[in-house]
Amino acid sequence: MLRDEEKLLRRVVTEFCESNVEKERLRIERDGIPDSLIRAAAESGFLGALAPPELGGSGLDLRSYSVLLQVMSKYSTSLAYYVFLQNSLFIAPLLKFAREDVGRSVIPEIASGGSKGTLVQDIFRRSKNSLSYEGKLNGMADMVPLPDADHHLALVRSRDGDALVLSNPGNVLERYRIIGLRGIEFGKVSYEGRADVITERGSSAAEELMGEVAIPLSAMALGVVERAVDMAAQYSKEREAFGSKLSEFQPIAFYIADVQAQFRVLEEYLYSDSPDPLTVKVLSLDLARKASRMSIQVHGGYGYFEDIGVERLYRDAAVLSSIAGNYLDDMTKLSRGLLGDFAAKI
Amino acid sequence: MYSLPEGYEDIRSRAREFALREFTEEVSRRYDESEEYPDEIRRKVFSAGFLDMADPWKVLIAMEEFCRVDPGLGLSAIASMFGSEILMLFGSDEQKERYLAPVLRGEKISGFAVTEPSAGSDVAGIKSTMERTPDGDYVLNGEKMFITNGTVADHYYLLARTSPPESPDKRHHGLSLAIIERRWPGVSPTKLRGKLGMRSTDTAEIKFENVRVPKENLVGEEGKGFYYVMTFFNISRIYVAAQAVGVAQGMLDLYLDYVLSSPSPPSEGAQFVLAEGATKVEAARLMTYRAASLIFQFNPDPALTSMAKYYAAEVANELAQKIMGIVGEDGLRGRLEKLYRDAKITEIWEGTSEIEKLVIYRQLSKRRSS
Repeated sequence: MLRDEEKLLRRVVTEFCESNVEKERLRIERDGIPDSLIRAAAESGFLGALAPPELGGSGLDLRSYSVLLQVMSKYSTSLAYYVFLQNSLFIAPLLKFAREDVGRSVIPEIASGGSKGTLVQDIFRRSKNSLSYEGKLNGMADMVPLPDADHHLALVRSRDGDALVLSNPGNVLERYRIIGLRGIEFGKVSYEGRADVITERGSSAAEELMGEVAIPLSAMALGVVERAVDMAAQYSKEREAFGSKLSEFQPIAFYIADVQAQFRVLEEYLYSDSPDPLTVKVLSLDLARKASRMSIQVHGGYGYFEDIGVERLYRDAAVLSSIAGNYLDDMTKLSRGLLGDFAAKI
Repeated sequence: MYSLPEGYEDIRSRAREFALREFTEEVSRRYDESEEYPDEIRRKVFSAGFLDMADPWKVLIAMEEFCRVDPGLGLSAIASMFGSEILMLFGSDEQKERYLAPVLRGEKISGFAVTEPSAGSDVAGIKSTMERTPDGDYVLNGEKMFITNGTVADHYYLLARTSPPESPDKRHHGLSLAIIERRWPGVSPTKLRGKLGMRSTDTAEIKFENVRVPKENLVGEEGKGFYYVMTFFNISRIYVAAQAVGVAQGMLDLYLDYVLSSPSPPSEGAQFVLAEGATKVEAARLMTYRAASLIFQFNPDPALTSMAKYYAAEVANELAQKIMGIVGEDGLRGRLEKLYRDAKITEIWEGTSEIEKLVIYRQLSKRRSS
C-alpha cells in the first residue's frame, strides 16, 4: 500500500509525535498548541508540507501529505488540523490561484512558522458569507480558525461576483473553542481594510478547494479511527471483568474487529492509485464517528474522561464531519456523480 | 399502560417551562465550563416540587423534560436523591428518619457508591471490605470510582464485601450495603474533572481508610447487598432511559429549528432524518413508559427496563451522530454539541448497553425454561 518513501515518512512523523506531541496531548486540549510545538513542526517541514522547496516547503505529494496528517491526527487532531490549515487551506489555494507578485510571497513565512495563515471558513458555506470587497474588505466572519493569524484568505462578494482575497488580520470580536479540535482557537472577526485579490473566480476556487480537501480530511479521520481502535484493542486486552479480559467477550471483540476491518479497507483505498475523494471522505468521516463511539464504549467510565484520551476522538470526529461541508452536501454530490446533475435535488 | 397517567401532561408542561426558564444557554455554558455542582438549580427544582419521591411519574417526566434542555443540570438536581429507593425498600425506620427524610425534604444529598476502579459492570468483582469488629460495628476499607455526587453528598449507600464468597461462582454472596457519611474520618472524596459531557454533575473517586461504620448503618441483612443493588438498578435504569429520551428529543427540537430556519425548503433527505428520528424517539418513550408503569406498580419487568434503557440510549447516540453530521458548522457550538457530548454516558452508566443486553437475554431465557 505505502511506498518505501511513504513508509519512511510515516516512521519520521511517528517519532516526531512520540517525542513532541504525546507528552503535550492534554496541554494541547486544555490550553492550545504550545508555540514550541509549532516551531518544532515548522523545523520538521510540516507547516510547508505542500509548498515547493524553492518557497521553503517540503514539496510533499498528496499521498505523503496524507500519511503526515493521518499519523499526526492519531496523536493530536488539533495539531494535524493546524498543519492542514496552513497547507490545504492556505498554501495550496495561494499556489493554485495567486500570481507570483501577490500572495505567494507569504508562503515561505508560513512554511518556516514565522507567520500564520488562516482561511475564513465561510468559504464552505457561501450562503452565510457576509464579507464584501470593493477595493477594501468589509464585513464580519464567524468560526474563523486562528483569528489572530497574520494572513487571512477569504471568499468575498465583489462587484464582478465572488473573489478570493488575502487580507491583513481583522479585529477579533470574540474568541472561543468549539466541541473538538480544542487546541485551535476560533473567533468572530471584523474586517475593514486593504486586501489583495488572489482570484476573481472565487466561487469556482472554493468549489475546487472543497474537492481537494476531501483526501487530507479523510486522512485525519482515519488517524482518529486508528487511534480509537488501537486504544480499544489495548484496553480490552488489559481490563478484566467477570474473571476474563474484555477481549474474550465476543460482542466486545466483534465491535473492535468490525471497525478495524473497515479501517483496513478504507486505508487501502485511500492510498490506492486513484481513490474517489468524496467516497473516501463520506466513509472515513462516518467511520471516525463510529470508531470513537466504540472506543469510549469499550473503555466504559474511563473513556468518558479526558485524561485517557478517547473522548477527544469522539469530539474531534464531530468537527471533522462538519468543517468542510456536511453529510447531505457530500451525499448529494456523490449521488450526482453516479446519477447525473438532477439527482438528489428534491 | 403505554401513555402517561392522567394529569401528567400538565406536569410535563410545567417541567418544560421550568427547564426553558432556568436552564438558559448562559447558565448551561457556565456550569458546563466550570464543572461545578449546580446547587442553586437543585434547590429551585426542589422548591418547584419536582423532587417528589412519592410521585415517581412526576420525577420521571421531570427527568425527561429537564434532559431535553440540559441533561447535566437536570440530572444533577434529580439525582440529589440518588439511591433513596434503597432505603425506601430495605432501610429501617431509624435509617429512613435519619438519612432519607432530610433528603426528601431537600436538605441533604445522597449518593450511591458501588463502582470501583477495577469493577464497573462486574459489580460482584468489587474489592472494598467491611470487617466486623468485636462490638459488632464494621471497619470499611476500599476505593470507589465515578461516584455521582461524590463530593457533595452528605451520605452514600455503599456496597462492600463483608465475607468471602463460598466459591468463585458465588461472588455475589457476602456483599453488604451500608450508609456511609461523607464527613466521617477516613472518607476522602476527590472530584474528577474533564468529563466529555454531563459536566455539571459531580463525579468523584472516594477512598475509605479504616472508616468506622456503626452496625445500625447496615442496610437490610448482611450479605444481601448484591440483591439490593440489582433491585435498585431495575428502578434507576428507567430514569436513565428517560434521560436518553429527553436528550434525543432535545436534539430533534434543535434539528427542527435548524431545518425550519433555513432559507430554502428542506430536502427530503433532511426531512427523513427528522421523520426517522422522531419515530425512534417515540418508540423509546413508549418503551420507557411501559417499563416504568410496571416498576411504579411494584411489578418490575427487568427485561423491559433493560430494553428501554438500551434502546433509548442507542437512539439518543445514533441521532446525536447523525444530526451533528448534517447541521455541520452551526452545531459545533451551543446546545447541540452539548447534547452530543451528554448523550454518550447513557450507554454507559447504570449498566452499559452490553450489560442491558445480557439482562434481556437472561430474563427471556429464564422465562422459557420456567
